[in-house]
Amino acid sequence: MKDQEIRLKAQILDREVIDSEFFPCGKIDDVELEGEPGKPMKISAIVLGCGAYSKRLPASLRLLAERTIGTQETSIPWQQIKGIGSHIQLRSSVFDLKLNIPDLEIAAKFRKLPKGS
Amino acid sequence: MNKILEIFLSILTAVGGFVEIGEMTFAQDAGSKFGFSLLWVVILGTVGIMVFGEMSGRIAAVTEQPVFHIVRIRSGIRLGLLALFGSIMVNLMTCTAEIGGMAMILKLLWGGSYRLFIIVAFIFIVLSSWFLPFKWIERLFGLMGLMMGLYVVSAVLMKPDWNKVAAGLVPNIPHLKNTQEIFVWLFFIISFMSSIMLPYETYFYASGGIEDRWKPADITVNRTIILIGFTLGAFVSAALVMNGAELFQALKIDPQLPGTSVMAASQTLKQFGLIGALLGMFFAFAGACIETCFAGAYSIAQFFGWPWGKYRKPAGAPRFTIAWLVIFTLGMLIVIIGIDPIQIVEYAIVFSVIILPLSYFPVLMVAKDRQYMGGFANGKLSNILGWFYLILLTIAGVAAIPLLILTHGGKG
Repeated sequence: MKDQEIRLKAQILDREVIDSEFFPCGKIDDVELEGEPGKPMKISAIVLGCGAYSKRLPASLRLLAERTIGTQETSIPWQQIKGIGSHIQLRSSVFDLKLNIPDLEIAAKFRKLPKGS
Repeated sequence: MNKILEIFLSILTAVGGFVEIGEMTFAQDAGSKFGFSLLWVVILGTVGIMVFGEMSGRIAAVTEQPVFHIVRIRSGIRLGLLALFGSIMVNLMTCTAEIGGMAMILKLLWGGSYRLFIIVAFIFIVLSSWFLPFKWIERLFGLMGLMMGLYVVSAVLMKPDWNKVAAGLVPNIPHLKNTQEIFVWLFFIISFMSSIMLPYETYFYASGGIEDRWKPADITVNRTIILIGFTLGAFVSAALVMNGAELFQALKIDPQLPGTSVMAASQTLKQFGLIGALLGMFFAFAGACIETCFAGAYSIAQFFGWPWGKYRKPAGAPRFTIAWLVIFTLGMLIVIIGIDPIQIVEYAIVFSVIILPLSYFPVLMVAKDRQYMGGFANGKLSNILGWFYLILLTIAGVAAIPLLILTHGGKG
């Protein structure tokens, strides 16, 4: 995406991410920033996954979340962002970016059941 | 013509799915305790669910965003998680109670083991949810639930004093002897209103709009279903209060169990009324069971951005499917270990009034946001009603737990 001013809270955080085929990939749970004093900050990546959103919880809840649902997180380079609107769209598919891995594992089991696919 | 038939069926579905076990329990109990004097709460609750149902349906049609997507964006992860946790708990409790209610009705119809019928009810709803498409689930249980209309026939056949009925439709304070009775009266106002405005209805309705691929052009359909469907549904609710007042008040019976409730229909419509009302209750409870369970699964999936929706099939939305399977299973296990479903539903309804403001506030914020909704944002009336109900629900939410304790769950 071209350089532009972005309001992190209003436009990025907690927005739904969809892939190039409009398939849901998760929510933006955190962002990675780069920059130096006196210069504008830049978003270098968006981060998805329970490990990312648990960091935003109060300490006691964070510990509970990390122990129960894990610390998995996926970082997606900002260059992957195709558009920012009510959803954040990526240039690649969930498969290319290896997102939604738990879904793929469960889906394989469901496909063996009647009417499961 | 197809569109008109579609709207007509959607209205009937909304009517048939309006009442569930909690509303049934509180409506008849309200009638047996306070006669017709709490009929106005039906209007208060119905207008409330119409206001927020319409807003969330409109948001879904315009932005294709369901309630818990909005909750997360507007409330952030911390407050959003609190709303999500509360919603899952209330949905699980309501789903549990509906499974128990279904088993009670099966036992009344065929006799035998209550626990066996819990398993039968569980298998029935899981298979229905797995194999039937979304539209069929809505239609089958909504249309079969229309048999609850027998309670309306029964209320009329009991020849109530229509002057007293009309007086009950206006907010009033009945003759209360002491402070404890005032507390019980207040508890019933809050619980009965909450039972009509149960949060799952909005979550399910908005998500259903997205499942049905609503577009801005469907806003009129949304309003028509809400306005006519919910109004007609409110007649069933009012009829339950009237039945409670006519049949149970003088006998000082608390008609909380489905077996007692059904006496109202059997009294006037004999065996036809008995069987019809039991079947109506069974399908209404089964429909509500699926709706509460799906509302829980929708909320989780929408909050975390997982693929969701019945239209995707289980392999297309695996974690969403696991979520609803887990909620059904937990509900079945809770009720099979012997916990009373009626007690569960009473707590579910009281707790739901606490979480209602948490999920309705973000909905109101988005619905009134012109930047977000453009020309489809709230008008003056929606904003006034939205704020009125939000303040009312917040006050009710603060008072709910103290009243629950002070009145020993409404028993005085």
